Amino acid sequence: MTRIDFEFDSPYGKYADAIVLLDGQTMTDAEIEAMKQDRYNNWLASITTPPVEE
Amino acid sequence: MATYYWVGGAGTWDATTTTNWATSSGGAGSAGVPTSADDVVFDTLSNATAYAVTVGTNAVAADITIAGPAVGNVTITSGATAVINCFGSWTNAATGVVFASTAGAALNLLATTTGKTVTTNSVALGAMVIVFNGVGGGWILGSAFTTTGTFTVTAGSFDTGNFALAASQLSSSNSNVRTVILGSSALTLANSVSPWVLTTTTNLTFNAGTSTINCSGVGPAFNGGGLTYYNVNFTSSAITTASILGANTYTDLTFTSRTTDGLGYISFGADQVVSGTLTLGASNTAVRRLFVFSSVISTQRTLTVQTLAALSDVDFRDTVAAGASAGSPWTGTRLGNCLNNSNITFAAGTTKYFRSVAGASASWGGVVWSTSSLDTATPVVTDFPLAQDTCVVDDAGSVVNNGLRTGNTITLGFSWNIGTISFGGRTTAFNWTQQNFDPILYGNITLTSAMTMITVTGSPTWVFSGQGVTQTINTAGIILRLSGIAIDTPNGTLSLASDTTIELVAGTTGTINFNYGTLTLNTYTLTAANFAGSGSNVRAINFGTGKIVLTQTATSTVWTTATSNNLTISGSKNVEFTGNALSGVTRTITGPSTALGGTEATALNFYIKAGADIISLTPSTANRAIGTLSFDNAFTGSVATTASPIIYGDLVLSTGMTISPGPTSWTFAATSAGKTITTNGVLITVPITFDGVGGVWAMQDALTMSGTRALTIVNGTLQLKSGTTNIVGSLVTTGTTQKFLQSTTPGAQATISDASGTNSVSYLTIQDSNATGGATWYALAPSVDAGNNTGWFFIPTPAVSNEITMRLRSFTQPRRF
Repeated sequence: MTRIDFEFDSPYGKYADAIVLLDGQTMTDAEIEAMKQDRYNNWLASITTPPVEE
Repeated sequence: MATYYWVGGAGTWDATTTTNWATSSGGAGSAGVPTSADDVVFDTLSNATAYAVTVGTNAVAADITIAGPAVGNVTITSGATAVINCFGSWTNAATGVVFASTAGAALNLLATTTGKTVTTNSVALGAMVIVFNGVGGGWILGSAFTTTGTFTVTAGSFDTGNFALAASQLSSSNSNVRTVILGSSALTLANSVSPWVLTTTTNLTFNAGTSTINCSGVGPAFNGGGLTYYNVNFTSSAITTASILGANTYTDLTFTSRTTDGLGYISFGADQVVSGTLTLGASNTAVRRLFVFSSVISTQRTLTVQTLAALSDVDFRDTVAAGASAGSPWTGTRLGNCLNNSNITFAAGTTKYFRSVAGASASWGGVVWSTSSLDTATPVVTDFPLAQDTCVVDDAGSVVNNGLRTGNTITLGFSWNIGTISFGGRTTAFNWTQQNFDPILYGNITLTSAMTMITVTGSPTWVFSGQGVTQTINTAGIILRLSGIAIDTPNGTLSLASDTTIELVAGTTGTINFNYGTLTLNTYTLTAANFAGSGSNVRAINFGTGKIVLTQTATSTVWTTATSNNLTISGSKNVEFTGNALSGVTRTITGPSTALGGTEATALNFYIKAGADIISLTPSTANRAIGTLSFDNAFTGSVATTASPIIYGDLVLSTGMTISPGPTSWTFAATSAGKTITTNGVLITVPITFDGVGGVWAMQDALTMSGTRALTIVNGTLQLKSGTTNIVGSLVTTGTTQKFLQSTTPGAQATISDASGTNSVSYLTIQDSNATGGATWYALAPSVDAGNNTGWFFIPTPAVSNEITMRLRSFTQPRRF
């Protein structure tokens, strides 16, 4: 497994995450960067526009 | 221990289905089913293309690794009863894996050894409930974690690994040995009711590290359990009520300002310590305010704060400012004083005039207020009235310029804190509509007959919270179209200055909730549908010469002071029930339980004025104190008791009513003379007891008791109506104090009649009594023959008694004395 840690600072604390690639799984640098941003955006949205509870 | 590989694409994962399991990647299926000791793997050879796995009620494995197929996604579908029990680590790939979980689905992490990881790659788990529950187990996140379900640590040790965590709720409230380590994580908890539940912290090791906890719901309760946190944020910009429970400590504690007009309530259930910065809204405005208050009115909460962020547009109640930030009192802009605060500086109250531009209908929270009484004044938002201010609606601007035009409407629009309301100078018509809001009132209320309250859908109330002060209400005769009022005035008084009617819907909706303080009626009538005043808070009702009138016509508890501890009653004590309730309805009138403060002092006089329904006086097994109990002749229903009403005043029954038969006694317990009982010919189908030292009860007409119902005298004096025949099932005395059976007219007999058996009484002084009907009547020593008695056998002393008893045995008929 390959683990790529990343962080974003936000008004709501530091968003820390890791992209973990399983054996045999590959991603391009661009895909990785996009995924980082995507995850952060999703997390931020969960604060600013909380999901509807099920 | 084995490793099972999912093969064959779509299928069901549960505890028994073997179809999709192979012992090698891409191998032959039907190789068995994984147990808690076996690892499972979903990989690129599980299927060539997208497929779905349906989780059953008990999918079990040790380590679980999920990757997608060669093309497309694997969708792990968990219905409401689906459960995955993972006894090892969990890993799912960053791509190619989708979780479709509905509420009720669960992922249980059940390892009982440490060193387990949970790596979800921030892939949303849907509504799956996550539970860590393994004694001795230890888990650490390997990536950020996202679920819209709850996240619970029941047993074992959970470490966020410093990664972000998003869930509906984080809960660890039990007594198991467990550890929660937050590191530097940012947690987002979206539950709008209870995002953080650490209520019970027994055997919990908690380390907040340098974490940030974001509660993003609009009404979150943070049950902190008295622990130490790092940063806690309430992030909703539409917050309604945030509640903090537990005496917690924080580094920074932050509440976000509202971005729409309104008042965000912040309730503190205990003292709090903020060692860093407390931010009570960084961008509040005059009409986008926060309200800091104690969860229990009049119980102050101390906020010990190192640094207070710039303070503006916050209302405070029961708040004590302390800590380095309060070396001098907290100050700020437009701070509202909702009373009982310490070490906070508030501007003195001023008068604010309603000056809507061009006289338009407007919201209370709009740009409609001015400190100028002139109708040429231009309102400004910063003149929004504070809790210490006086709010005036007058005639200025009712025709031209700024003010409220005739017939226009003020809409409340939010549950604001409001000081004094002064509408008395308004003579031209206007409307008030409250929608479904509950303003809290701290000053006097003076309305005008020119005002009409619009009936709205919902449950609008007025909450009187002038603790420590006297609030006077003068309704000027208008009906308060409210579902109720709450009297929450510890050490304060709500005093009527006019007759007052609370009635959202006539005869059904309008409740007086009496919780704290004093209610003073003076000479006025307070009318509503119901009265709810049960409790142990210090309270008083001073009726003066006024009364409470309850108009309820539907089945409900119309009156309750069931628990009357710390309740003082004075004045007339008169409560009237005027609702003409139909047959089939039950109106419950719950006086004070004698076990919970019910005494002669707290007994109310209940007057039932109309109805054909059932009046339930003792809805439970508790005996209840009542003053006078009176039924007007317009009442034709019945009265039911399941325990004893303890009546300290008069009793008046109506001619057309009935008493539901029952074995529990009605007890007359007055301790003074002058009480009367009027049966109006109603058959008494319950036992009755007279038990009041010093009490004197005069029957106003004949008493007729049914069957074997006993009339018992324990204490006091019973005067039967002279010239009447009073039928009893039996006559009984108990106790060793002397009691009295008399006629209402000295020298004129009253007859007491019992058809059969023997009535032996003692310690009874009898006068003007004719005992008859067929039964035998013995007055045993030390009973006293006070004269003008017939039909009684007086047995003067025990010795003589024995002799007479012997003699009597020789007679077939006893000799009359």
